[in-house]
Amino acid sequence: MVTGTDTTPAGTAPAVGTPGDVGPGVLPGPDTATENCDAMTTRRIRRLSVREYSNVVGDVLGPEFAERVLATLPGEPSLGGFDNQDSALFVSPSFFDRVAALAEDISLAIDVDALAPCASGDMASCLHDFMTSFATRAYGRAPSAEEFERLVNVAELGDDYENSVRLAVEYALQSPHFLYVSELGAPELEAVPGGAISLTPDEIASQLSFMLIGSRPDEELLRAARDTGFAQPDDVRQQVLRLLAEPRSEVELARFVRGWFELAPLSEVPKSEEAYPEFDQNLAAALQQELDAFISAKLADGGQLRGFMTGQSVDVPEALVDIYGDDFVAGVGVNPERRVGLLSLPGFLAYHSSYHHSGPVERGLFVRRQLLCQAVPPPPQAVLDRIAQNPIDYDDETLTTRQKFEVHLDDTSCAACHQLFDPIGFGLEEMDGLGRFRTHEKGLPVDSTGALAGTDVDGPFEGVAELSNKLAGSARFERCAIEHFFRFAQSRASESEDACVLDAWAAALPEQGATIEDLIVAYTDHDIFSRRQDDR
Amino acid sequence: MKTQFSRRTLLKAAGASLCVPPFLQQAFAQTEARPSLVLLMQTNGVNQPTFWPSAGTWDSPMLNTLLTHPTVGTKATLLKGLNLQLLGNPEGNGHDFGFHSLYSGYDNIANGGDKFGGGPSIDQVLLDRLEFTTPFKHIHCGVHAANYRTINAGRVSFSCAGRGQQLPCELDLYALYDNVFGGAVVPDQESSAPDLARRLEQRQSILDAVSADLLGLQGRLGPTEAQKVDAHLTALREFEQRLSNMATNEPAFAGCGDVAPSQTGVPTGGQGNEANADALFRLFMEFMANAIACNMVSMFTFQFGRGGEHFHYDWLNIDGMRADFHDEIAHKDDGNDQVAARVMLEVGKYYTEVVTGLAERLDSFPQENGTTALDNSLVVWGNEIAEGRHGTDGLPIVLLGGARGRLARTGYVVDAGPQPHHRFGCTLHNIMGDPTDGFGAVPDCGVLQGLELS
Repeated sequence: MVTGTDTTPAGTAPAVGTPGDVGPGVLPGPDTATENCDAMTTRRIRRLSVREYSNVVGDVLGPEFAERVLATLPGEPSLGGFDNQDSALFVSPSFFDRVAALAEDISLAIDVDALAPCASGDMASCLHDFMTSFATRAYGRAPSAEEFERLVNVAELGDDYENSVRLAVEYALQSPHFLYVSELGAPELEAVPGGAISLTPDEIASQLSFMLIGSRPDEELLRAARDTGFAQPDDVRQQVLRLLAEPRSEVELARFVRGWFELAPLSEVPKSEEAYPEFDQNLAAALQQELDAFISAKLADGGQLRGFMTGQSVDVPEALVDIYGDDFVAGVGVNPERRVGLLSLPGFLAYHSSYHHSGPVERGLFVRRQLLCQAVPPPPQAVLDRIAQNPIDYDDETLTTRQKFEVHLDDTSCAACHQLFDPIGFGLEEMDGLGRFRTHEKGLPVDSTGALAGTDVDGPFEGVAELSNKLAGSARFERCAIEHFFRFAQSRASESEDACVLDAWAAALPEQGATIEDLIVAYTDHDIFSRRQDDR
Repeated sequence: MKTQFSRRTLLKAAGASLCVPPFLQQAFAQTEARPSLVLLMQTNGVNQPTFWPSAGTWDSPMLNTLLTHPTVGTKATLLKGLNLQLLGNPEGNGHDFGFHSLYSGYDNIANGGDKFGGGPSIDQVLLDRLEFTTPFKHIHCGVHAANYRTINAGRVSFSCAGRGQQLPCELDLYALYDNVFGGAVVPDQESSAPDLARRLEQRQSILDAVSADLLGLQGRLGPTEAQKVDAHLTALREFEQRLSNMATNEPAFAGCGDVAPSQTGVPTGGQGNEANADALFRLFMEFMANAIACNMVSMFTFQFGRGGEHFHYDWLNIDGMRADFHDEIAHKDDGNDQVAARVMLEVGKYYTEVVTGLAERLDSFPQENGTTALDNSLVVWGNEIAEGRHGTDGLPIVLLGGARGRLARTGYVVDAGPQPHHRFGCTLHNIMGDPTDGFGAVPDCGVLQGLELS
């Protein structure tokens, strides 16, 4: 392992105006606030993602069973970078089959003596105690009398204590109380059509828990729900801070960052063997390792949103020394003039590029859509047809990648949209599809001049370091991060009526640059965290 | 002491307890009154000039493995002139349009930057409207390219339960065998009938408890959220029906307990070397034929990769293949690039061989009155786009089988001029016993012209 130094402290980016005063000529971004903010998520039950289900199974039965869940249940679509999106999660027949089979297999494999010991020999009492504690952890609340009776009825069909425990586990793993997160409020609440209802303390605990540790509440959180009812903002805040100190919270916050930066495992990245013969699973693993280490270091350093646009790699694996070339000197670190922030990591650049070239269009679109939350209209069919009929000749050795794509800007029908993102991507042309710095491509000089327009940090830039510095000073960049956080935390995309919520969070954040923790506190202080619109 | 029996043990035991000689097992595989349905989705279009037979002939460079096949060649029908009809201006490109609309009739929608189905696909609509008696009513499965980054989460699966409600594409062939046929591992001991009955009682009790939990939740939900519980309850009831079949040893299970894949150990789920795709394609064809012939599954939807998939087809060793088939072959098949055209033809011939394998296997299972499983099925071999450059006019559609006599004849090219793909969907509904004048978002498109039905 070769270790470099982080020479740029996080949080040094200049503060700029709020999204409301970013000036004329700025492209539409997130919607602006309304005076009366009553945006609220509707009462719902959200099915756990496979990852969340696996985490809960691991918590209540042991990590080996979490692995079994991941190996058994089919993967699910990730929407907007996140796998917990309510609209994509439901129970299909095949999912039901898999869960039923899994529940049976797991119930046969558990060590009953370890899971539900019965030293007293009073089997009835032991079974009662086990089912109470197990269901409470599995459902994130104590089972109701009716629910407990159903558990008892199932367990009673067992031939002996061991069999009864297995049956109870098999049932609980399939119960909707395990499979869904409830956001319904208290069962006895009268319907207030269109009005707002409060989540129960247990439901609030699950909201916090799934967001921060990806699983059901631990015993302390359940106790806090019971003892405080989360009546005061401080009651929630204390638990937020406690959970953020848990090692597991880093996994979840890193999940937010990966969704925000639209990252998936590098091992899934396709690279042409002809264009990138060096790219193999070992290199992919090293790229991943460095990327993960950077995100971890940023989170450990406070998790400042704009901080992800600053600093250098703190952990350059040996396998990446050739990728960095002159940009890295052992014992000194990564060149801070050329590489700044997450966008400059080879792992990011390799992921956000094309199969056999640097992908200036993809990179430009990524910055415009994902980091600035500015919509880019889809190309009309006629333009698509023309592109398909006149594809860019990737094999042309007489032009650089940039020169090949500049045809977009020469054609007025293409330029109308491509001018929004190609100039951004062109500014990253100094980094190839594996994140290697280059001055020449196929013997031709590389032009890495780019430009941002329609933002609050407009102007020319050259190279990834200058782009990162610009984005680090962008209020729109931070506001866009808030929008991604909304999706992460609320398990749905924000709609236009949610703009006031985003504004309220933004207003609650420190002007000098917010951290993810600030954002979590702003979120949990807001009504949208703990209240739901009644849909009955 | 573990006194439970795993489901696969139960399945095996239920099948074994009948002690049916193999030669009689076929007689038990009673088929449903409507055809079995298989919807195949290929990606990236075809080389149009080599796909279609010349006028008046039954001869196509790409399809000849199928068309000249001695037993199944005349059981094919080609549908010419089908154009993908968009109803609005959805986001995306031809891959998204066709992948989501061909078998649904709804334009795709955007969600989180990705493109998803805009309404239920026909498999889900038929599930909702019709009664199917097989243990598994529908399975959606496929093969994804290995080591390929998913550009668009919506292109992972075309089967859709509703607007934006993507059903997972089952990639694990062996898990499907396990699920449908009860596993290939023979239990090491015979289970006694009372023990089995006891276990079935336990399973039913668990399902009753889960059902009661769901009904309790349903009463607390508004109308939109209640749909989630409805879908969950539907899944539960299907499962329950299979359990009930097990308890009564319904004939559908007889003789199918020992069905196993002809090759084991192939990595699934997009894992490993891309060359696995070849073996998996063939194994999935075999699986679908087995499951239909054993009357275990009524409908399959299957995808040869994700929408706009990036297979490199290394296993075919085609001279002239370029680094990225999608970008550098399919997109360049413009009539001028002879290499691209030739590679498209070779890839098309490969898919023809694979699909012919499915038809052959179905045709090898005799069923009542001298028919075969292929005669009593309808296999639709479709493609998300017509040609590699995203064009969607002239979708290459091949039908296989007689659809249990619903097709008045086979072995010809239907060519009644340009028609919207919705008409084909409408015809599919009617063939399956769901009379309608529409398809997807078009309530009155009418049926396909030129296809002769009984």
